[in-house]
Parts: sequence; C-alpha cells; structure tokens
Amino acid sequence: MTILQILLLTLWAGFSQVDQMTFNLLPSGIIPTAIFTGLVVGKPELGLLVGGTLQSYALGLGMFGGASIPNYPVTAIIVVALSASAADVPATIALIGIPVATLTVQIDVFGRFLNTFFQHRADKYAAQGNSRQVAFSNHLGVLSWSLSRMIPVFVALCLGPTFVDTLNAIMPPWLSSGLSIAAGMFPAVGFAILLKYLPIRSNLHFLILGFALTAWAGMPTLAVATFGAAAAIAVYYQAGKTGKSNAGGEIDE
Amino acid sequence: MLEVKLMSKQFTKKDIRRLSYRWSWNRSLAWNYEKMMTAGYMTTMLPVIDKLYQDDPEGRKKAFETHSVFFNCEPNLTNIILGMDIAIEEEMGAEGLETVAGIKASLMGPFAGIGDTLFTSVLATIFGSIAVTTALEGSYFGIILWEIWLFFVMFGLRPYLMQLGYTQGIKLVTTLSGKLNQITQAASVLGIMVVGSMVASLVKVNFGTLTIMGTEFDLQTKLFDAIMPKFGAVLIVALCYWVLGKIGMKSSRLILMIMALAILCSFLGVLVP
Repeated sequence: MTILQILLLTLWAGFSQVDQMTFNLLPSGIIPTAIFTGLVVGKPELGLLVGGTLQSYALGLGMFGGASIPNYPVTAIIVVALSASAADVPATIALIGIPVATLTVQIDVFGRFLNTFFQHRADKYAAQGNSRQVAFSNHLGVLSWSLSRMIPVFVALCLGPTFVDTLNAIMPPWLSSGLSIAAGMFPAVGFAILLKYLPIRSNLHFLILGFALTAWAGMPTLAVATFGAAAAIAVYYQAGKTGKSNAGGEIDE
Repeated sequence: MLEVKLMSKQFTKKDIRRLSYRWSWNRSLAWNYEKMMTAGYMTTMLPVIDKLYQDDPEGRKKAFETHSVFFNCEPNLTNIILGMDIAIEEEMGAEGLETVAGIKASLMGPFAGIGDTLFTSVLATIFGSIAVTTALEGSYFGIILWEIWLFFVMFGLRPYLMQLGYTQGIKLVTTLSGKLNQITQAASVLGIMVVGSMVASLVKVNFGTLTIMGTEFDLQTKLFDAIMPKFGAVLIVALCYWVLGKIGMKSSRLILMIMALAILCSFLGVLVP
C-alpha cells in the first residue's frame, strides 16, 4: 500500500464515524466505506462483496445495549485493503474480518468514554451560561469519534500486509474453517437481536411466512419485502380500526 | 390565548429547519455513558436560549440548568420534542421550563422505543437486507436505494417533525401517539417478514459427515436437506435469541460465543464451511 492510500483511508475512517454520529449521509457506513476502500485499492467489486458480507453481520446489531458492538466500517477498510491480493476472497473475509471485528469492539467503548471529559467541560460552562464554550465542548467529541477510528486503521494498514501473510502461514486448517463457519453464523446474532426488539409474539406467523417463502420457495428478500409491504398495509388499516378503542397501545418487548 | 400564541411565533420555518440540522450535527458528538445526548441537546438549544432570554439573566440561568439534565432519545423523533420545547419556552418563558423538563423526561422513553423500532430496526433492516442481497450479487442497486431514502426522505422528514412539534405544541402528543403506534405495528410486520426471509438466505450452517460404525452419513444432504433445508439457520437463530434473553448478556459476548462454538464444531467435524 502506498502512503497516499493509507492516508486517504485513515481520513475516511474518521469522516465515516463522525457521519454515523451526525447526519447519517452514508447508510450505516459499512457498504459505502467498503466501496470507497475498493476504489482506493482499485477493486470496487471486491469492496461491494466485503461490504455486503459485513453488512449482513451488522443487521440489527445496533440495537442491543446501544454500545460495544464490532465496528464494521473500520473492519471493512482493513479487510478490503488487506484482501485485495488474496485468491480466495470469502475465506479471507472470515480469516481477517472476524478477528478484526472482534478487536474493534473496544474502540467504540473508548471513544464514548473519552467524551465524558467533554461532557464535564460542557457542564462547567453551562453553569456559567457560556454558550460558546458549551458548543465548543460538544464539538470536542469530534476528536474522540474520529481518532478512535483513524488510529486503528492507520496502524492496521501500516502493519497489516506482513501480519496477514504470517497469519495465513501459521493458521491450522480446523481454525480457518472454524472462522468460515463462524462467518456463516454471524448474521444470526443480528437477526436474534432484531427479533428481540420486534413484536414477534403476536406476529410469529409472519416470521414463519417470510422464512418459508425463502427457504422452500427460494424467493429473494426483495420479493418477500413486497409481500410484507402488502401485509403491512393491511395491518395498518386494521390497527387504525381497533386502535381507536385502545389508543396508544403497547409495543411488545 | 390564541392571539398570544399567534403573535409569539418568533421562529420562522427557515429557523426551525436550521435548528433541526443543528440537532442532527450536534446530537451525539459528545455522547457519553454519563449523560448521553445531554450536551448535544443543549448545544442545539443555544441559539434559542440566547434569543429568548436576552433580557432575562435569571431565566437564562434556569434554561441552562433545565437542559443540563440527562437526555437520550431516538435522534429523528427528538425533533418533535425539540419543536415542542421551543414553542413552550417561547410562549411561557422561564416559567415554562418546568413543563419542558417534564416533557423531555416523559417523552424520551416512549419516543426512543417507537423511533428505535421504526428507524433503527425496521427501516434499517429492510433497506439493509436489500443492500446486502444485491451487493452479494455484485449490484449497487440496494445501496443506492438506501442512499436515496436517506437523502430524499430522512433529510426532509427531520425538519418536518420539528416544525410539527413547534406548531402543534403539547397537544400533538395525543394525536401522534396513536398514529405512530399504528405505523410501528404495520412496519414491524414488514420487518419481521424480511427477517424471516434473511434467516433463510443469509445464515449459513452446513452439517458435516458423521462416521458411525464404519459407515459415513452425510447429515446435511441425507437428513436436513430432505426435511428442512435451512434447519441449521433456524437452530442457530433460536439459540442466539434464547441466549440474549439471559441476564447480563451482551451482543459482543454472544459474538465471541458463536466464534468459539464454530471453531469447536469445525474441530469436531460436526459443521463444515
């Protein structure tokens, strides 16, 4: 990797994280980041594949507990950049992606922890009624969000290539196939979390229907979503009728 | 009362739109475990405070105190709370701050619940699943669709919600809660069906070959493919769901457990990639 590539990707890591915390210009940050990295290393289609795979791990993961989840945009940069020359891409995603994703859990906690100091600074100036300093304290958070992502990306991209070669050489086959199996199971974590947050007890039939349409009929998700939209419209009007009597009903656990 | 209300609208639609973007930018910059979005909320309100309490130092002090209290909510729906807050402070001045504190405290929980279900889980799942499936086929369609949604719908929705809160005030809570609940129920159905489909298409669990008394038996093709092709996927999602219900369970811990389980099953040959 050239130093220019490394710097571009490091800057993107900071930008993408700040975006996730503010305007949300990039949907979830994972696929766009992977595509950007792909463009930087000259393999956009690899970026798309890695982005899609990592996004499938991340669906629903944002929900549980609000924090301390793997940072998949950072993972995406590292995986795309380091697997650019690999032969077996899906295996490489599992081999690099899963350990890296696991390591990135802590950086989010670290960033959020640093912000406590800026909160205290804001509280101090709020007590004095100093608007400018309150706003400035809040903006200091940009540093903890961006640097907590930029530093790991920079280090990983500088040291990565040699590290990956060594890893490939010493990895026993049962371990690397274990990581591939784990990669296949990873989306299940996100789906289980989603199901915890959706009212499935009263809607189990829709879960079964969605599963069956794809498992047996082989229907693509977009087609199932269209059926789902039809069902949702029916439920909307039904809820409008019954909702009058018990206004403000509740959402299942 | 009505006259006072009409006369007192000091913030134009443009002001409200700018305040909404100000919220989007500031909301989580200093997010921390102690007070979460408090600094973001206060920073958003600074121009309002500076304007409304120009000649009222005591009120200004009280406003800063009010907004120093813990706040955390779903960012999109918080626009409604901010709109109501601005309307109340504008109408009642410092005397309205107790009402504001009450509204913030009582609405942030329910709004977080509805907003997280609607925006974070259902909509992100639907657009995310389409983006994932198309990306894995080498197509940019899904991610572009998601991007269009964010640019053209969410960017317009946020200022609209703040304007709604600002013009309608507290009475909005009663009219809106029924409607939001209806939308959430309907959207949940769509989300649940998409999750069901994705369990079948994206979770990959392949059973290996068992050797029993010298005969090889391929679990996946001979047994599960015949009965229920995606049995492994259902099993692992059900397992994750069950484990998540345990006290003190975190998603990061579950991910480590899945990794350990996969490596163990790979070592034993029960599962194959």
